[in-house]
Amino acid sequence: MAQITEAAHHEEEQNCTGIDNRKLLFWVFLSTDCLFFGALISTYMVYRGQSLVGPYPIDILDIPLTTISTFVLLCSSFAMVMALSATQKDDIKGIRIWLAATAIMGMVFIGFQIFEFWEFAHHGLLISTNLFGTTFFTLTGFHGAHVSLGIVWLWVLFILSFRGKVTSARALDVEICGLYWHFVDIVWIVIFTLIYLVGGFDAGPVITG
Amino acid sequence: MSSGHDNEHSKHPSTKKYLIIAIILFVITAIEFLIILPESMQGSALAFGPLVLLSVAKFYIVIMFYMHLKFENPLLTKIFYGGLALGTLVGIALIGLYAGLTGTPRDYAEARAVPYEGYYAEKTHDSSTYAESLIPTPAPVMDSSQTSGSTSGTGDAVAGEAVFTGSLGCVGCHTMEDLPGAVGIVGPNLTQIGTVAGTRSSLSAEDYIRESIDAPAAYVVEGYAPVMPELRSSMSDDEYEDLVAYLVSKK
Repeated sequence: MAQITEAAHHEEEQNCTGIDNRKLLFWVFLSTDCLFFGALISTYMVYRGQSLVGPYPIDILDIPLTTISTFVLLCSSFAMVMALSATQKDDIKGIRIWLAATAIMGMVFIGFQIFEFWEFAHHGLLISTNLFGTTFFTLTGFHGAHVSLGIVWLWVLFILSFRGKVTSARALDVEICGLYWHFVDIVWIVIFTLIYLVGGFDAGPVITG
Repeated sequence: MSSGHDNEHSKHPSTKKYLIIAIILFVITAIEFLIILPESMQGSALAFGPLVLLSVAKFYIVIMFYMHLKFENPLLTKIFYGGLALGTLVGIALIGLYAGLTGTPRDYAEARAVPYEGYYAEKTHDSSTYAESLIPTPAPVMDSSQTSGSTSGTGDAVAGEAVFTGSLGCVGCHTMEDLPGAVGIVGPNLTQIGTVAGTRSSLSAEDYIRESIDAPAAYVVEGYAPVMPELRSSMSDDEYEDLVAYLVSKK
């Protein structure tokens, strides 16, 4: 039984578009996830500058620190493409090293985010404090949840590599995980620019005045 | 099948190319950071264009090369761009909708927002300017040299004191140090409200006092519960004007 499903798994299942079913589905999912994050980012932008009480973004956002975590996430995307390239070459050592590297860098990014959230809470910014807190935590929290899911996915692949299940014949498994990981990275590119670099200097009205 | 597979792989970028792409992404991020480093660029409209352009470039590079969209069936690109465009349009529509309301919510926020003595405020702002900024410039008209029941409005401060101590029950919750019996602590101390009122929000002292009576919940002083009842309808217009004049006179 298991062998039958295994065999079915190996074949690239195609449809009239000539694209593998799983890959097609995954791109449709990513397309809809654009809408998800689009809604959260727009909500942040709509409510920008409408908080009635502090802390305001300028009081609390740490841009240099976030730039470092952005670098880490970019680096992890590079590790991810290396993991896929190692899979296609059946380089089992490379697969393990790069998958682990990607997952660890993702964990570092999440570590930065936990530190950031903790700092914010420490300075009085909770999700219920003001509109900034609500929209900020909802947006970055959901992004963090995406990254966390990606980390789990990567470790699962890492474990599977020890059972000989990550091979060039099944490179699509790694490729789809990679698509997800890079997508999370591009969402962060948008968040980092709009919330931190552009909106990070929003202050309370009186301070600007 | 397998030959098609190999063919597909050969189209993918090599390790060296991946590395170059990673470096390009790094450089773009570093440039973005440098753009907002000078204080004059922080939060300025001038920085907005370049920042958005650079992140669009990063976005494009990642989806095209790291996600191989450039080497895939064009249908996938269309699917992804479809969702992306829809998401972006929804965002633009939402922001446009709110901007279309002649900025009302933002004006509201600007008039009411409370200054935050931020953790980073001292770091990012010269402390003296920050302290000054906490006190909004007083409205040029009115309430500067106001004595009992004169200038603005028609109220009489002496009559206002009677309203304050009267059946409305103000003294039950508010302290007025020169009035025996006015020792309530549920609401803020009003002994110097004529002065303090001008510093609370960006409203002038008199307008602030009027707002506090008309709509007690509009601004609640930190540390107090939003429990003040709406009492405007319990007094006549004359009583209201007298009460405002009385409170403004308490400097």
